[in-house]
Amino acid sequence: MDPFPEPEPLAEESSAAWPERLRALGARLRAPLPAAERGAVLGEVWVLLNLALGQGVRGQAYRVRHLSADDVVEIAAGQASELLLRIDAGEWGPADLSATQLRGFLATVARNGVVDLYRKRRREVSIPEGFDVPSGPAGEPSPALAVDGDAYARAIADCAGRLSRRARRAWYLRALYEIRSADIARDPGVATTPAGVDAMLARCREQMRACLEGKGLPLGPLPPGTFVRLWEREA
Amino acid sequence: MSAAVHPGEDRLLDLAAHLLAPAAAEATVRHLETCPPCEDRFRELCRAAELARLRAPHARRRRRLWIPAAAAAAALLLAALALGWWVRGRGSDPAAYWFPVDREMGTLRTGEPSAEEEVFRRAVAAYRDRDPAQVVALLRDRSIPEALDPLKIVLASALVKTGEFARADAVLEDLRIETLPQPDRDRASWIRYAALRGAGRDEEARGIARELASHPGEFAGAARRQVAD
Repeated sequence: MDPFPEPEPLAEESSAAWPERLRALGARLRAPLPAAERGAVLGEVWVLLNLALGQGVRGQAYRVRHLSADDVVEIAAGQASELLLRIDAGEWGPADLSATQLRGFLATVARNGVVDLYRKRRREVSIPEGFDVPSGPAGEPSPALAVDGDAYARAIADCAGRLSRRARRAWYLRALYEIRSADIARDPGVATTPAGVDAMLARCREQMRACLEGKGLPLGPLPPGTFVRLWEREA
Repeated sequence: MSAAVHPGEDRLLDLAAHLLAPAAAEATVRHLETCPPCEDRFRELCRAAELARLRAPHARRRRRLWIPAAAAAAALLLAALALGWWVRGRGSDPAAYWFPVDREMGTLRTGEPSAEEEVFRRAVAAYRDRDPAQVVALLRDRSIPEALDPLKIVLASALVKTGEFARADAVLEDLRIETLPQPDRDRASWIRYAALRGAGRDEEARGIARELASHPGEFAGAARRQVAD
């Protein structure tokens, strides 16, 4: 039996905005644009391709054992990179397809990425049974979990507001997304070395801990509802 | 969106990409506040979006093109500034300043060097040879131990000279200039002044110049001239 049958298109809510947005961006890239504007459009296309392909990869995850969240990101980035090169070279564009066709195409590209990983891993090592697709951060229960998410979000936003803009950006990338220092160092708002990020984050943690403790709150994993409130404030 | 209806993948993707209409975004966010599994899915999507932005290939490609152009522009600028320096007969241009390495880097000249120390030695030698691009290439992504803090000043100075002003400022901010002993504190401040000027952050730069001008030291005169300009 084929473990990788052709995927269903990235099917779900017919009112999804992202396929139309990708098509609109693709149409803009057909015309000559100033370099800065073209870069901004390609940047948005890149992010949307990563998200859409990640969705397709997660849809195929049940076929592959041990697909971590980072595997999903890596597969999506690899496939998105090839597509972006073709878009940049004018060989293909999202606007060439209808929204439905685009979803189907991206689902197939995502599936191909999962197949490549599956074959590579089969050659490298036998994989133990069991799926490993994390649905979110796990670990010991946080003492902060007993705190109301809204109150915790307000306290974090207040304490983070006392950090410099650079430090706050670095701290959010680590605390909210667990992004490693080498990636944080690339952020244009942070612009330092990985070692510089580590030093900055060490100071941030101390400041945040002191500030939160001053409000009677511990610094630990975020209680439910905190992340989305902070995301809404930063958006 | 009712609390019982969980948002699908598309809805979360649209929210993460800021593509939802305000009312739909509001309803989805309110749901996520009360639904930890959905919030975890959304957080994973936002993480993927952030990672994509940080790892954007076209942005890196543009930067690679930009660096040689900036370095060439900086070289031309430095040449022009150096000419001005000679014409005026006085070294008051902050970007033309070279941090003295012969005295500061004594700790690198003792004992058998490890591979990492060898890189540091080469960086110092490159700086001494007035090759800031080589210094940046050697030290850019390297962790510099606290015992070699002066090397971070060298890196910042080289970054100024290659036109990477924001990164130079970041290196010096991490160093916490105010904790350095004199005369390194003033020297690092002078390089930071050059970085801020280069980055167009003139008001912050002026504050540093005023501070340097306010006390006797290596840069008091030059800083006063900068404040007066």
